[in-house]
Amino acid sequence: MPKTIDFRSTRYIPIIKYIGIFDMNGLMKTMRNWIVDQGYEFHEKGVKHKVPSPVGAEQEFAWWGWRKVNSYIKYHIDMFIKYWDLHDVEVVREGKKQKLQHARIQIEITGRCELDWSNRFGGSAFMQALADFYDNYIVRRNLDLVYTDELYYRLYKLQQTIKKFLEFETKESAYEDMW
Amino acid sequence: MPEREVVVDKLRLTYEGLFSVGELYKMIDEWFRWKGYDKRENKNIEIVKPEGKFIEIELEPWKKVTDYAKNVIKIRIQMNDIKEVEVEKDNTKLKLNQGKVHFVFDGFLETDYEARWEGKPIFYFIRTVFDKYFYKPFTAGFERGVKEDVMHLHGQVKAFLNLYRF
Repeated sequence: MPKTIDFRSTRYIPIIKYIGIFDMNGLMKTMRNWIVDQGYEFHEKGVKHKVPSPVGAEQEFAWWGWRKVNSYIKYHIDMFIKYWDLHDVEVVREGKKQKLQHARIQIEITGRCELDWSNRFGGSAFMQALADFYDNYIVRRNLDLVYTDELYYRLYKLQQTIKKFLEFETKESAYEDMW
Repeated sequence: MPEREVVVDKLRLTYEGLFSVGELYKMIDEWFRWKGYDKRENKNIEIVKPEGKFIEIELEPWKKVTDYAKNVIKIRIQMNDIKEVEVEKDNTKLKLNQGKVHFVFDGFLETDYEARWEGKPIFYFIRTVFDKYFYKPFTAGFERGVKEDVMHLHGQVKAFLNLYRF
């Protein structure tokens, strides 16, 4: 079975929370386009929509993107987006009337590095032990410093893209040119 | 689980007045990168309120010192009533923010972060004995490093905020 380096247990990716007015359509498009533009296969794993209450609707999206890096490593991106009290508002921006949304948002981004996705070392216990030796001793440094590091900082770029879209005060990052 | 030694415990800093939120965040981020820390942002919250923005950020960057020990600095930043203002300085208009900001700095030394010495109780025991008695000079040196880094960052933030006292 392929082994996975899950960021939830090793490295941590932040949770973005926002309350205010925003363009929901634009935000969803920006996030999806980022995943697709980076060469990931995009999947929407789940969508939930609760019957709106007087304060607004509740919506949930679970996204998954994957990309083959080489014949041994595959990157996965998991996103969980949740909106509470989502409702439309009309805003006048630069003299033009615009229909935007107001909500409480929570966006969680996390990543996984899948090793041996083509199952080269699959099968016998000896091959599994060989795979463990290969991952823990032979390519360990590369896995840590090149592959997981790249995915980790790319996820921060996705986070920065979201921050820029939502016009966060902290949208700038000193680690922008890491990968 | 790795062992976490608290080196700096809740060093606080409060400021109220003019400053730039974006520049402050960038300065802290750049400082961490310059010092060789890896980025870790646990929390980033922005709430738009009528009295101004509420911003809460929790950063916890880390730096591996050896295969056994790593420095971890945790900063919690809470900003209240952040408004955008325009200030004129030397005949140039500057876009700044006005509000309250509160920092809490913590410094930790994390040992055995790969949990190599936790497989068996005897390993755990040996690790603790070695950490406390045999490697004390080394771990004390690493702890000093964490403390120096936290104090330096604290000083940098203070100096940065002092720049806005027109």
